[in-house]
Amino acid sequence: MTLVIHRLLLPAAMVFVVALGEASAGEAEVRTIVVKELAFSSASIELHVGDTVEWVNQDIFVHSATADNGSFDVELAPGAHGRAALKTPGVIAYHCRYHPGMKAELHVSE
Amino acid sequence: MLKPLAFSVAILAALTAGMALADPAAKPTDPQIAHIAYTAGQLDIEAAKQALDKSKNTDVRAFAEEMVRDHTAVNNQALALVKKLNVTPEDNPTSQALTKQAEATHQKLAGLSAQTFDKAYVDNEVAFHKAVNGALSTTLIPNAQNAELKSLLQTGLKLFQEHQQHAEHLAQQLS
Repeated sequence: MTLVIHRLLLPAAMVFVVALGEASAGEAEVRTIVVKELAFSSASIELHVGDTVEWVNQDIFVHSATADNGSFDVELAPGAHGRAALKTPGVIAYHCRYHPGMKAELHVSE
Repeated sequence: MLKPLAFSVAILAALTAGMALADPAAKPTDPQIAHIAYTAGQLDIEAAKQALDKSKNTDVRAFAEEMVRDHTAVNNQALALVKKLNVTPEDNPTSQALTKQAEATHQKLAGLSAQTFDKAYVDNEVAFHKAVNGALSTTLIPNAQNAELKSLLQTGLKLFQEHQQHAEHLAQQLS
């Protein structure tokens, strides 16, 4: 019986350790920005190279997340989400192609 | 050539004249407000469809497609809301004046060449959105009684402001 329990617990314990290891190693993150009421939820957000930004469009309108420097252009249908991976450090200003008043920034560090 | 300022003044007059003529103290009711907002959206969709028929400019066509898409989305939500609230939008002199004005503009724009049309259409989009924004801010939103209707009108105002800004950028490009 004891052996059976150990066999069951061991994989669970290993998964736990692996999960802790990933969290502590500062691995790349996926950061979510909600698009709602014709605005990006975070006007400015701190990120690292290797992170991914995911925009979630909760509006009834089509939007885009379009980098001013051309590094990404993500089309966002109503209810859809889209991602961009961040490969270089710096401040990336972006906007919605359809609604030019919608603007925000990503602050990407090494 | 159309004069955007004159057009803007005409729309502003249309947006306020109907109720003012009937009774200076009268305030629009929710069924009237819903009708005016819906009508403004529909008229802008019709103007955009005319642009899609006439214009060959990529940016103008993209803007017109945006107008169709966004105003259809808002108006569909407005229809769902009035159904939910069991409210019947009520035709009124303001909606009628807006429609009459839009028909006159449609006729004038129809007679223009494709190239002249682009500038006239975009200038009128600036004027139209500016006028509707003013009406939403000063009359329609303050007088809306139902919270959900008021909220939808506020979303509509943000949308119209974005469209005005987009139209202004486009007008500068075409100058």
